Amino acid sequence: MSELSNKSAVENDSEPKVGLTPAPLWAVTLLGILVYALIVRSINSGGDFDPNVYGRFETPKEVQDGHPAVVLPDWFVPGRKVYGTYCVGCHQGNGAGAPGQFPPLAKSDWVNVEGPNRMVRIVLNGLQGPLKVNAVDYNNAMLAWRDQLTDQDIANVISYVRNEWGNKGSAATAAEVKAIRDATKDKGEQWTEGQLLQIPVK
Amino acid sequence: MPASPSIQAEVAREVSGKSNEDSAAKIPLLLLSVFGAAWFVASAFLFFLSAMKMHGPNLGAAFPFLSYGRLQPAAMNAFLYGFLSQAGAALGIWILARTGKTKVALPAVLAFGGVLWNGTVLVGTFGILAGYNTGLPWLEMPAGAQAMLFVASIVISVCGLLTIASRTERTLYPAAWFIIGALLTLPWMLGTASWTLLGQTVRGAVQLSVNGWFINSMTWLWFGFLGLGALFYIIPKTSKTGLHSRSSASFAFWTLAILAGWGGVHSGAPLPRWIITISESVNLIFLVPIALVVHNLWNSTDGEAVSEKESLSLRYARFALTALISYALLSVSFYLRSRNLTLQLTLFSPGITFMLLFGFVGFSILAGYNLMLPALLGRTFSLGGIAVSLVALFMTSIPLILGGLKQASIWGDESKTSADVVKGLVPYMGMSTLGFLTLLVLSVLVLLRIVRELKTVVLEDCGCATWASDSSESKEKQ
Repeated sequence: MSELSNKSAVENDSEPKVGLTPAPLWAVTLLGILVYALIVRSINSGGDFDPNVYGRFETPKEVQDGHPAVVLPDWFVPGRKVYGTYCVGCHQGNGAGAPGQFPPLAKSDWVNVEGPNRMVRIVLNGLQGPLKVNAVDYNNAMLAWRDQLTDQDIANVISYVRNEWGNKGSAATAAEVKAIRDATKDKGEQWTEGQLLQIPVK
Repeated sequence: MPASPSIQAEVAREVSGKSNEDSAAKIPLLLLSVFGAAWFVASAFLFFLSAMKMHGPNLGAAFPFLSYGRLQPAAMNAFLYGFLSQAGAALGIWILARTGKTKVALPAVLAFGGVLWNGTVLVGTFGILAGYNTGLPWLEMPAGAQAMLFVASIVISVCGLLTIASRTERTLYPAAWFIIGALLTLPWMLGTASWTLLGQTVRGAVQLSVNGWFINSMTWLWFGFLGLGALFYIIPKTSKTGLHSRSSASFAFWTLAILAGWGGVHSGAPLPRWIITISESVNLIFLVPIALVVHNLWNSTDGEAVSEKESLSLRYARFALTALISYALLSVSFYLRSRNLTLQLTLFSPGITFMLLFGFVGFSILAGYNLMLPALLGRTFSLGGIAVSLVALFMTSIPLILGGLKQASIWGDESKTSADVVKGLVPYMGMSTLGFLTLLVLSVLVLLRIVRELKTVVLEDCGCATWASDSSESKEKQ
């Protein structure tokens, strides 16, 4: 393997030469047209560069129309918040309660009734003694929340409970709660099952 | 495979004009070339085994490493990183030294990089066969092996870039642009993809996007640029007319370099619409630089000194160009949304990918081997095998492409079942299996030829050949 000097390497003319013919005009023109087409196409069917526009959809509006948003009632989020603060400890996050201790709210025959009359009273003044829910007997006590929760808080949480976990019921309003609060302002003790059953559900 | 008189004359001219860059680079470049050829054999064998599994799924069922899910990615990684990358890097650095009229920089470091690269691919391939597949296409090797591959790529790239930095010919030859581009971007692509995907810094659909970027960038900026660098050197050199147009080459280089990372995403990919739209459009735009390359190089083959029929390298190079334009046209039809939604999960995709990787990049490398190895070894010989190469190319890629179209048409027919799809593919898979067997034969022929020439040179260098001929002569006298 003989070592040649750089000089002889430079003199080695066996390497190919390069022609100076300019790049063909058709290529420049075609590239320009295609890049323009790319920009136009991206604008027209690139989903407005919205990261939520996938697959067969072409615009954010198409996505929106194809996936109608779930509109939550006003009471849902604040009602869930009140439930998570004051109720969840006994009735559990899934509304199932605790067997033998705290009655369920999910699919409860006390919740799924025509109106919230009795539920408002229970939340305001609490409940004690024997209670039959879904044909199961309980005997415990629930605190009164009259002084802790506002009319709006009680309306929200009752509306939430009456429409969560498969429950189906009308929402309560703050005005209804206020009316019951005023009507029962002198009741100094918790409700019993017998007293509540005397009150119409609506 | 004897060389024709014209080829011998051409190579003799090459050998007699051998300059110092060949001498200095001999060992590391030969190391990369020989191991590249050895990986060609290994990958072809693994491809053949994986193709056989399509006919006999129970073949070697007792051995998990013989399952299709391990054989196929092991074959692909061995082909990509063992053969194409290594042989392409050797050829690229040799071309850099030749066109720059300089020596290969840091040959010992380059040899170290080659050993590191080979060790890593070996560990990675065994890792895949052992079941440590990462599940990311083209990044299937275990994370540790990917990290080592990144380090080895830096070592090899630095040697290549220092080589061109020390050139005595100040004007860069167009072939060098592509090779420099490939060497600059390889560590970047390997590092970025390994860090984000294997380091798990991106999750969910973003992984798909990064993986798509990696595959498309590696296809064009590494394998594609190595292939183009080889063709931009081999065709003007063997045709003796020189390169037709420098500005045309520059235009194609920059267009490919800028757009390479923008395409390659399938229409059905779970990615935002704008990514898919741009990707589809870029795949169409790719036709322009590819057409320019073909136009430029085709116009460079009109030389009078060596005709196409006489030069094996030139013939390989012309077939590589044909494969490139065929791939470009097929891929545009593949990436059109209406077609892609039916073709994307068929054999069509591996068919056109193999046409690009073997037909374009592999043929470019074989064309380069026919020039580089005789120059490095100082002997006049050719690897030959062009007929076998063509048979291997046609019998591997064409049945897969046609099989993919058939697959899509059966899937589109609601009255057909999955079993009908499988039955419909049997003849295509059979042809493709024979194609991989031909590929194995080709790779063995290439390796044996290189080893035989290498052995002759080693024996001559140590004087053993003289001793051997003397002893045989004395035996004949007795």
